[in-house]
Amino acid sequence: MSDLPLFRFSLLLSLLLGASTFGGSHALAQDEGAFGASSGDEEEEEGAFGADSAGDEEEEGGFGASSGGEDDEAEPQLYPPELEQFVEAEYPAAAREAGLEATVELVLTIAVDGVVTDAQVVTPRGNGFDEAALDAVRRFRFRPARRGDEAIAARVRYGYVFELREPEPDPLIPDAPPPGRLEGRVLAAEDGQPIGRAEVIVTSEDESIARRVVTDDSGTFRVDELPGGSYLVRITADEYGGLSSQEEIVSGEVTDLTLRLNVMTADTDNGAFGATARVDPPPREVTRRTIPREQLTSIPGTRGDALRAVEILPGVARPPFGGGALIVRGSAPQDSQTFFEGIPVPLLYHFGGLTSVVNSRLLNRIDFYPGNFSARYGRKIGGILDVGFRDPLSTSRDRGLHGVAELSVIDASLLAEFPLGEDGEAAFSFRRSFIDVVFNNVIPDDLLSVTAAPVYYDYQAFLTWRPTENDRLRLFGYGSSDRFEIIVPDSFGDDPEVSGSLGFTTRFNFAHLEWEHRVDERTEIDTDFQMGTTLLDFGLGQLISFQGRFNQIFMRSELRHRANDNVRLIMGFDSFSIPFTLNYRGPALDQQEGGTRGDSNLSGQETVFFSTQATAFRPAVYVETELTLGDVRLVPGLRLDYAREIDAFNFDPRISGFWQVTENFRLKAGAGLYSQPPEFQESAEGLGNPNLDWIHSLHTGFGFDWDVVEGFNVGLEGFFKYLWDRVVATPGGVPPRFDNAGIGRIYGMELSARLQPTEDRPFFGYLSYTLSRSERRDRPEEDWRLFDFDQTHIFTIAFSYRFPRNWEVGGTLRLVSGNPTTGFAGSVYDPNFDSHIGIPLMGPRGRNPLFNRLDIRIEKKWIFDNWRLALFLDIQNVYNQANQEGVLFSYDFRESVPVQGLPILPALGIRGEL
Amino acid sequence: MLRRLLVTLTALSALVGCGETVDPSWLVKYQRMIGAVASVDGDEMRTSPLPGETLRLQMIQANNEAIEPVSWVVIACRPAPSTTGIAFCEQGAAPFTINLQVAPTLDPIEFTAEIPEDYDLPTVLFLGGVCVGGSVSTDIAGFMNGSTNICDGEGDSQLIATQYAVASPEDMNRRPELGDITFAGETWEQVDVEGAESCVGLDLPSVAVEDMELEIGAATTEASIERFSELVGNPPVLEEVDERLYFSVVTTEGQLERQYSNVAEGETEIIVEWKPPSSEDADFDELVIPDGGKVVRFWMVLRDRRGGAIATERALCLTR
Repeated sequence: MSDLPLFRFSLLLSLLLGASTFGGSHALAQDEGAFGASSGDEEEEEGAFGADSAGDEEEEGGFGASSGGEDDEAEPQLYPPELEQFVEAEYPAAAREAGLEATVELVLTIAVDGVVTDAQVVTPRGNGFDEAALDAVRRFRFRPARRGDEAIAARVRYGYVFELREPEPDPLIPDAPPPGRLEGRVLAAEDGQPIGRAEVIVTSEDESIARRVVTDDSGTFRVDELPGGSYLVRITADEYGGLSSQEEIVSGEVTDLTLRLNVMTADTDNGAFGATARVDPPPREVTRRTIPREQLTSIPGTRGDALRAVEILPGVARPPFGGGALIVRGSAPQDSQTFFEGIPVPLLYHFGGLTSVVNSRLLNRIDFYPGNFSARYGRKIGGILDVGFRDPLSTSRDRGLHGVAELSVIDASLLAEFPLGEDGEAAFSFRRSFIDVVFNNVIPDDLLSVTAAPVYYDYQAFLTWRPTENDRLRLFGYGSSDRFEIIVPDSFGDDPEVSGSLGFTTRFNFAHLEWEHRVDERTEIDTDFQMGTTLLDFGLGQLISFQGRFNQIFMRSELRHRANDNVRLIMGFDSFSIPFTLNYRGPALDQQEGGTRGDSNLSGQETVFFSTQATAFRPAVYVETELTLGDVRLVPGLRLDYAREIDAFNFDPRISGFWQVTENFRLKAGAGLYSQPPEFQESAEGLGNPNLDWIHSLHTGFGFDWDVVEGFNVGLEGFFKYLWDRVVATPGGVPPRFDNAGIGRIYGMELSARLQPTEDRPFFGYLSYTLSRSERRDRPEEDWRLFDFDQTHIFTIAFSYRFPRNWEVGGTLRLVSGNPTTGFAGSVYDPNFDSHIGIPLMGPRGRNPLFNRLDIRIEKKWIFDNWRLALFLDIQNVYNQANQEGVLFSYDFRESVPVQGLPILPALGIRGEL
Repeated sequence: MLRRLLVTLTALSALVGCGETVDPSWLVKYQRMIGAVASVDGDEMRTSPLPGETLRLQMIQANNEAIEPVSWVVIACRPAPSTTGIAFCEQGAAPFTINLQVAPTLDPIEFTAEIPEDYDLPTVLFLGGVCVGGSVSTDIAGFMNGSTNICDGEGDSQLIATQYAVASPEDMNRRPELGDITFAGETWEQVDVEGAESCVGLDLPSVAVEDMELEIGAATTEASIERFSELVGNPPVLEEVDERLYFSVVTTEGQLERQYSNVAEGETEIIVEWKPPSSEDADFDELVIPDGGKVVRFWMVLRDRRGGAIATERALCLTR
């Protein structure tokens, strides 16, 4: 007899006088007179109920309809209560060990709202069975008995069966591979508190296997002995909406889930929006930082934009003016990359950082790798941000229409999700800005002629289809557009050439097909294909004109195979091919970071013309192995890249190691080579140097993760990076304009501490601190200098507290070292163009003062039957700190004033969720 | 480019009423150069010399007080290959003209470049500096190597680096002509006000503080707008185009609408508004107006973006 009992709940639910497989007439007397209708007309209810029963004495007596006398024919039809929500009882441990089974007979009193108001044991069985059964049935939920259309109270007899079952041979696995296990937690989406006594039903796709368990008080559940395969996991809980999720169980492995349910009480709502955060297999990267999306969307100062909240993570520097540049571990913005589902995305934020180009409510995960990332990612020497989208309706409690509409002073968005047949779902989201309205009312008409006020929009559309149990297809399209153009009839500022048409347009549209295929129990293949177009257009008066059209074709395919319990193999290739046309007219380009040529007027500078039609082709293959040796796990990887534009291969070996010292403490370390091709403009013949080589870097890191107590974990990591073959401008910018003479070094440590909400802790807290130094040397004969965005100290603390009555208040405090500044010894005057060119000061650079800012967010929700409404106020820079973001020099570089960052900036918004 | 961003952001901030800003370039607060009038010896209106000819630059100075004596050292040389930034002389190439004025003088600042007969570069570089109120150092090697201090002791060091086109026989630029200057719709004549401490004895238009904006008008001639060949568009195509002239004005007091004004296509006139000092100005309390009124000076330069420039000066009387 197995010690893994399979509970089988009884189907012996019947009315006291009903013919059933359980119960019997001997209990009738106990039930007499026990009923009362919600109307309070006890006699009438009793009589009515009894008269409507099967018509024999037992039924009448059973319902206590002793008053009788009612005309049977005049009574409406009576319907018995129906069990809607089953709660599994705890199998008494002693009984299980003794191999005992039992059926406990009970009488349940069910009120008009379906709640069990009373339960009595009719036939005590002892050995803990009676108590366990009582505990379970008191949490049952019924569809109430009815007389006609009217709900009435009822009393029923119920037999609760405790049964131990021999494990049956699993028909799915003839050779009986080791079974898998599903475990996880069910949490309230509202506040992350655990949901106890939630019913978890796990059903295999052919419905040959069905298991039911109930979460404990900590919200955890566990289903053992599951053969590998695809399962439908359905969760329901008393006060909460349901949730369904399709999960893959791998033989011999544990699949860990965290599921979040929305509150759904009779006087609240239907929980239109929730999220599923899937806990992936153990990471292959030394550092992967993930914050649940629900918490990211409530970070103050972001207006609910999850991707804007990335900058609170350790290792991420604060870009000037809150712009969208991703500055990771002292790397230049172009050294890091954002991916959508593993495919590079050309733009993450509208207007350089205002808001991200995707609706945060469609995100499933945001994984951030500040360094030592997997061989899966390449062509970058900084960090990686990989954004994953969820399936439509995956967070909805039913397969009906769901949606979210949001309106703020900056933009408005609409998200709709709906089913397509039985095997498919779809979602669509659209957003447009209102900045043009504000802009037209702020800028004086006589100064600028606005031909295209700032406008952005973005959209996302998803279709998911599961044609077989082993295949999942997802097609999604997304796009974004930013446009701004003004006409300045006369020069603006102190540069005579800054006049005419000033503007830019960035636009992209992509279609992405994703295919997940399970070959067998141990092997799966993921393939992604994306194609689309990116348009860039930038103009600044007569002097600068840039137009680029990039037709981008990306492909990625990854095979994952578990050879045995200790070895997992990952192989993949990714490539992108970009036929592009590029036209540039303007000053010769400077190096991307550390250049000083930009500190002069445009007038008088040599104009460079560049026009090309070419195809960039960058294929890569990679292989990674995950070796488990007891508590130690090693992940060596290799990546081979080719860049056609410089006709050069590159080979990067990498390794990461993890040691699970205790259940709650893990050491980790990694080292590897990371490389990146030069930017297109740097290697384009005529504009740059086609003989450039790959840019290289060595990443090393060492640290630990510690789960101190439940819901509170701490991580600490040290890192060192060395860069060589950096692309820098030649002295004077003379041909070949760029070479690989630059080097760099970056070192520091990162601390993070996260406090998650629990049952007793209705708040979220996140603390991150980065201490680092990033230096560059552009040419061998030069001294080391600070990286342009070097920030010694980056301290962030974010918190949010959920008050009763659906109020939530949070704050984010940031203390960050100021960016380095460049001083000027004076200037050189050019009388031909009436312009001054600054002479940079040599030696140590100054810094902007310490940046400090507090953002707060207040949100109030109103929850109705089928929808909810939220009003939120997000205030950036609450105390209106005048943070210095830079230094502005006068036309002759003799005078300077600090350039201040954004003042207090309140943003009020309203959101409706269906 | 970062500076451009900062300038733009600061200017926008100032427009909406927040943020500090620096003095505008149209406000003359110390003695400085505001342009140069180029001419070829023997053909005064031409600004692009042929090899073997001499190019002459006469610097235009502005000051909010009386002009101080200056000294200078400026060399003419072959520019080193460079795409942007500060130009330097080609390594190892000796300057072919040295303009040296060691003793401070009130004479006009003038540099020449005697272009060698075999000169084969498209531009000639003037490199050096002016010392205002002091004597220049004679360390020419130091200037060529990028020294930022041009004065030998006291004085305000102002460095110069500028390139002028060396002409081909088929493309020889001529400087534009400046027509009538008007103030508040009336012809505005030039008056020598150098050294004047008040308006007494000067025939100047008069305005009072707190007055409304007044218009400064300037005109050029159609003949000044030359046609020349230029790469246009992207990808570039060599086309015959009109010169795009622009007018700059600087002053010692008040608020100018802007410093630079482009002469619109088909037009020959431009209008710029000037607002007398008012109590709204941050430094209004520091304004000292002597009895008889304060002389407010204006310098105007018309450029053709190809080395051609012409300058003039006007003044008015500011009263309480």
